Amino acid sequence: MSDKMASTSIGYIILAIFFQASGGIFGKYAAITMSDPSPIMMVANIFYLLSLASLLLQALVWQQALMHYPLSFAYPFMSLVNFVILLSSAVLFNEGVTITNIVGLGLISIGITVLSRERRRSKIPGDTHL
Amino acid sequence: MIVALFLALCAVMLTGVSQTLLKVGADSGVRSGRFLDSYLNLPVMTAYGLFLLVTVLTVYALRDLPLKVFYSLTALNFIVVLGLSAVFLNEEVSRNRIVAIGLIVLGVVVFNLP
Repeated sequence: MSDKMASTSIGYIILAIFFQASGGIFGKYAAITMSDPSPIMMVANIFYLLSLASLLLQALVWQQALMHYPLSFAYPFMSLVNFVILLSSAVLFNEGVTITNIVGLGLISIGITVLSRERRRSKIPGDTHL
Repeated sequence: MIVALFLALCAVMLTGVSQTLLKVGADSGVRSGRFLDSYLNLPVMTAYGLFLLVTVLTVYALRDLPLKVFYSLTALNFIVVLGLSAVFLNEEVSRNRIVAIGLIVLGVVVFNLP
């Protein structure tokens, strides 16, 4: 793989992380901006629609990333989403960051890495993008 | 808070079910050998319907649950898919996978320690 191709492919992984985190953040905004959480209000909520759009874009760029890298290499990067969410939660929603948060995410990331190394040739369990 | 936690766990569970359905649907497409059959079949369409439902449950859960807590819980989805794929797809559950699941569960517990 040339340097240019490699940087483009890494770009897909970074975009996938960005869009997945965006989906969660827009989902939180949707939750706090809806006074009446009826299904009709939900589909009319701009943040809910942005959340859906983010998840769709995430699926599209993730597929591109998997065309360039093995799942066992690409998937551990997705555990970075949790760190992005942790930071975003603190900055945007004042949820704070504790030492146990960071240690917990470290353990989750190691677990995901072990799982993805274990299943090099197939879709790994829990490969989902809420 | 309890209701939000319940909704979040339902979302995790349904995500696992839809992942398993996607695999079942993809396998039926492989068997038929036709490209579109991988997408236009009942398990796959049901899976995407469940994904949509999961987004709705997520918003309801996030009304009372901090975003960081919700996202830490989604890691539990790995257990659901591992269990379902072992039972319904006869996939192997190796020692390494059990260790990995143990680390993920421990991580979720540690993350949510007060």
